[in-house]
Amino acid sequence: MNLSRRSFLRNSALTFGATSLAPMAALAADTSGYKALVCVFLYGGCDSQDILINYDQPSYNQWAEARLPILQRYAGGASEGARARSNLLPLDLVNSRDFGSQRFALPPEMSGIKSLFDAGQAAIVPNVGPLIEPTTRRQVEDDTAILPSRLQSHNDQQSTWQAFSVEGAGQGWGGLILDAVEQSSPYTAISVTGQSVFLSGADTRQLQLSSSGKIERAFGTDRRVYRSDDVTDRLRAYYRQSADHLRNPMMRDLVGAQAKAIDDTETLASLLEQQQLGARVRIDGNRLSNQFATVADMISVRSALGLNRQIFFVGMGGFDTHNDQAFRMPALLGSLSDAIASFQSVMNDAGLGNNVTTFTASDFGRTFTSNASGTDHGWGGHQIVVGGAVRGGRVLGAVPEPTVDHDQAYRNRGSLIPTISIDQYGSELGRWFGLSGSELDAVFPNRNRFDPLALPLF
Amino acid sequence: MRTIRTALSSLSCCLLVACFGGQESEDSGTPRAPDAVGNEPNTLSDRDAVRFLQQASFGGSPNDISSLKTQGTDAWITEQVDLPIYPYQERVEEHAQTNWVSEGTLQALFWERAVHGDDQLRQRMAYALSQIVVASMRDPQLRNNGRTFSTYLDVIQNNALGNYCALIREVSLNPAMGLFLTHLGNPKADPVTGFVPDENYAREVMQLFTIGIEELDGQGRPQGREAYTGADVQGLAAVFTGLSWADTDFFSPRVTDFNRYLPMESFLAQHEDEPKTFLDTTVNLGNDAIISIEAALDHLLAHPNVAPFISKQLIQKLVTSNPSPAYVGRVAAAFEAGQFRLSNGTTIGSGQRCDLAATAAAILSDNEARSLPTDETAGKIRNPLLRLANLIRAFRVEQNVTRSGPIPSARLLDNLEDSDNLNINAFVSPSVFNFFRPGYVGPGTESAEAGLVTPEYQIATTPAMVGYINVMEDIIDGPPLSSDRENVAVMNASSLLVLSDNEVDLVAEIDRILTGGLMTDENRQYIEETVALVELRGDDIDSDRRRRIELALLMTVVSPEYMVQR
Repeated sequence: MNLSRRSFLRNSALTFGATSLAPMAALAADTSGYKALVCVFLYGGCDSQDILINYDQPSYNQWAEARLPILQRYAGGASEGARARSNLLPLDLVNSRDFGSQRFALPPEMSGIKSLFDAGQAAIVPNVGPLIEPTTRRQVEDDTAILPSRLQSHNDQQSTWQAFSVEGAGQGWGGLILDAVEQSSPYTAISVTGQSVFLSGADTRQLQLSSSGKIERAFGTDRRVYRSDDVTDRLRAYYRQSADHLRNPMMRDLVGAQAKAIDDTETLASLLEQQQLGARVRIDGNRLSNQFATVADMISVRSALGLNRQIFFVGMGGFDTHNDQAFRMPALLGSLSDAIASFQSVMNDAGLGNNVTTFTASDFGRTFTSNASGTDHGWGGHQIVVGGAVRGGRVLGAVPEPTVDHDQAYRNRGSLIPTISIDQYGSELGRWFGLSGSELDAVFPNRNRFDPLALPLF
Repeated sequence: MRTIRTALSSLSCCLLVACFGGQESEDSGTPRAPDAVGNEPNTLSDRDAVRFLQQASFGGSPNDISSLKTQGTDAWITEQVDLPIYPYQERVEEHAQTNWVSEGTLQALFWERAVHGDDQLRQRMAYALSQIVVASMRDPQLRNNGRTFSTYLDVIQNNALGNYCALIREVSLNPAMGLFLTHLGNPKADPVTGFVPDENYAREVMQLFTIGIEELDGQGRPQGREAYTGADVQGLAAVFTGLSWADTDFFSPRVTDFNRYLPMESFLAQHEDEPKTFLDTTVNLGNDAIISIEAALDHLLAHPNVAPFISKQLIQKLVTSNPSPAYVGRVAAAFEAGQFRLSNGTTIGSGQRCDLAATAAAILSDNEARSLPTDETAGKIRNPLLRLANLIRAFRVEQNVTRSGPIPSARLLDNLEDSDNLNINAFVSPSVFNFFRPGYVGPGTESAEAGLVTPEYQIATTPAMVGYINVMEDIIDGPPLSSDRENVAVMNASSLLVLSDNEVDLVAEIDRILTGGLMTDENRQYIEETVALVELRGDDIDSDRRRRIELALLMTVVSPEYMVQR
């Protein structure tokens, strides 16, 4: 990879005046080989204390007691017994020594993730969330902590997770990571679930694809229309150019998006027509798997597009489980687990198992104590990271006790004050992707306030 | 009816003035339209009329445009306020005798009203409000309760030119909202199992429906302080306990043809009867949920944020994404006063705070709406659903909205919300946050650089940009009228046939109808030159003429002057 002018400027700003004239190359992103990141955003705020379940008997009892109103509703339902201890999938941790007598399990519908965990291809990073600085319960209660704004607000925390500020943010860490690796292609940042600020960088612009697996082309761009080549050509040109002479920013933006959509779909339609990888990822009735199928197809055309770095954004909704959690969660977690497992398995078969890392994110975790049949908005949450490069089979961080009064408890309902910041989580992913320390500093401005060795994810 | 109401509201104004011992001959406290705006009969240009119809309605046909020009905007607004309402529930109940009520059923009724309703201002306001006070048929529970959803639609529609505070009171007890934001069946805290009330409705009624997340000044500018805390949410959550379907068991409700259409009912044993504290007030009125909720909503709706918070969002939906603070302040003043005086002297609104007819009149009569902006930051990206409705309505085949009878078909408009169609449709928002957010900033856009929010840009994704072109083409090239008579969404542009031999006349007429003549010379000429390339041959000349019309329409609706409203 060439050192671009932009990375040159960025690096020199950090280098000159600071230290010596260290060789530029040492500071630039490593973009050898192929690597992709896939962010799975769980919209609504996932109750991850229903994913990583306390399994040693005393802790399970505490967990189950706190959630009794929810657990009672499993009786007689389609997921009867799904949270009974005997039906959970206990995790044999490679790093079990770190947890003393604490043991953990996944719910039975997450057998796909369990298998990846056993194969060393999945890890769990507990209690991740937005933080300005390391924060404890005492600081929160003393009112001495600097807290992120608008905690527990869906839209604002979605934005904060993706872009470190509330709704209206302009640049997300996925886009900024891509800025650093500098691949001037429209196909590096791909969302299969609508606009996501996560993928917008200073220079990186995202492409959105539908999960249908088909690339629809605009009328007249794939065939002759109105019985005339001239008319067809002029129509195609008009789609792209009709705001060129205008100054109105909204008009220019919208026609700009129209032009880019016409161009991108034209390029991709024929390329993707031949692809088979996605079809193998797809699971009937699993919408997230359809999004992963599109991701797989886009990975399979990486060489044709001349790419060795890509970041994808997929998502599923429905996690705002204020009620009927017993009815909703098993289906949601089952879909999530099956889709990720299907994708990773296809990647493994294609020899790309070590080249792709999939990770979860969500608005927030939820309260530990329950409503009558669900849970409420919280803060920190446990995340799943999958891929051959991951130090799998591990839970990589401290898991709070199943109570409402431990040191990381937030307010009175046992939400979690994060122990691992998004900066730390994202930095590890970014480092694996090839970013240098100074590049990570530029993407994650608060990361130096946290222990750099706390999360050995790769 | 109209005259009486107007007279009554003027009368009450005078009484009010008298009570305060006012010396002035007029009710000077009523917010009023600026004098400069010419909205007398027969003074509007085509451009004025089309711009107004884009803001106040689902767009206009040539007849709508000329009749508005004759009438003037003041008389139009006055007439709209008192037009009869066509309820959703009656139609849905009748349909449900023999059919399943799906989101498609309800959307067909939406399109019937949007395309063919005379009560355009009510419909446009209702659509805007359905995107602010959101309940969605995408919710799995509501998908099975389409009949109940019709009662939510009636709450919105009935109050759309009525009273916003009344709307919030009614919607808070509406079972569709109760299912959507889960306060239906929300019990009080249980000391035995330790569960506490669900916070969902308490949070969203504050964040989205009434005060918003930050304290605002009277012109809607954030003051840098959050408007409520987590403790306020918990306090208010306890208020929204003890509601369920009427006349049944709280924990094991039976939904019947009787209670599915009724407001939720209070269950004394399940309402938190301890004092409930939020936003510096304590509700301590015992165990009747309805009484506690009324008191809590009184307090919440009296918050000074409500007027600027809701006024700004309505302006954004109707007129411009980035209104000046002063414009927000003027509309908020009408919302507070509950009445607004048009420049012809007619007073709109009941005089009750939160009056939405007054608010709509203030939004539409403001100079910032009425005069064509010279500044490039005014206006808005038009929601693609409104662009589609405008096209159909401009060339609609006249039908009447009916009170009974079969639900019409809107077959071409099914599944518009798919990501590779329009990416939006009525009543199927992905969450309570609507398809797009009022504060959305398009990353990396020129608008963002200019400091502008562009809410509708949030749904302008790659597949949706292509989808828009293809949906519009399908409608333009849709089935001929005779084959699909019951379809509410058929357009017929054969009135343009007489112009189609001359591409300049043809494009000028389409430009006049769809943008009010705001196409730039460059784009208009480009379309003319392209249309001229479609030859008129001797053998089937009418087909060639139709091709010319279709091409001119398609090129117009993908033009920036149509997609962005100024």
